[in-house]
Amino acid sequence: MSNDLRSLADVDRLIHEPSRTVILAVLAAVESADFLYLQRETGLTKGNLSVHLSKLEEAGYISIEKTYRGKIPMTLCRMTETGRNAFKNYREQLKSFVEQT
Amino acid sequence: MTNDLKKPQLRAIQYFYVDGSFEFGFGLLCLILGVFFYVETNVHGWLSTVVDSSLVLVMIGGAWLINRLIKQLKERLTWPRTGYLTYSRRSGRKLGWRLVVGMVSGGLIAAIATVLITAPNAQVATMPVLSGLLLGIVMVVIGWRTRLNRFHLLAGLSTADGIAMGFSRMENTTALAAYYIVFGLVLFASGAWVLRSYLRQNPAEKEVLPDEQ
Repeated sequence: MSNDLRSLADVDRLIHEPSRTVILAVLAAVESADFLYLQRETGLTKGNLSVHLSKLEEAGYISIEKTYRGKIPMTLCRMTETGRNAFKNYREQLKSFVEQT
Repeated sequence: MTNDLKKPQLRAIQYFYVDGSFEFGFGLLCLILGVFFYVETNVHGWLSTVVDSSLVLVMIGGAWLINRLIKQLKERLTWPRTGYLTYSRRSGRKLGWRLVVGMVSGGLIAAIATVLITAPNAQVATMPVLSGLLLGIVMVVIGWRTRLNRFHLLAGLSTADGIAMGFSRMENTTALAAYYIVFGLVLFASGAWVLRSYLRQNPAEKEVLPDEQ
């Protein structure tokens, strides 16, 4: 396997999934986003989005807070420092792969 | 792919301006300032001193009112429809860039002010021209940051409004009041147009009654 392809094979598989990439891209640009915003942005069903968020939370990339805005329940997601570093590495790996090929 | 990653990030930045609440808030502040300057030109004696010295209070009160209005609008219309986002405060390099842009804009406006004030036989009311330029720069910065073209249009309108009022042969403060009232109305119109298209694209979800289930 050439070096170019090996750099792509080394990318974080947890992030290298379109829906999770979009979730992290959004969370990298803001402080926090709620479930509804992420659902609209990714186009996923509630169930699928929950699964993806749980995987990212298990990896320590995001934190999830169940809270209330007034009387309305709200699920608020934030990117952790680990997630921020992992996403930065992922972007750099992708960028270098695109530049090399 | 890396460019595609920027699209959801840009949409997240644009989301703050998606419902026109910013224009409503900023427009309201302009209207308050317009009324303030109009009152200032029409009161005399001790009342004039009171009005003059209350500008800072008007600005602080206006800013507080803007925050309240934007938050109320978003809480009632935007967040239940399309979700809730919070933004982190700027720091480091980005804050530095903001300072540079602020200093360059300030220098530019000071230079224009000097030219206008020292020009012999100047028939121009300087304050509305400068305000038009200043708010025009603010709109350009927002438009550049969010890639929303309507802010570039608003920047042009602010500058045109300022220049028109500057050359209208009105007294300086009256022209300034007229500038702020006109630009406030322009912002309201822009906000209403944006809110209308937002509500059309995102109608409220119907509540499902128990007997409909």
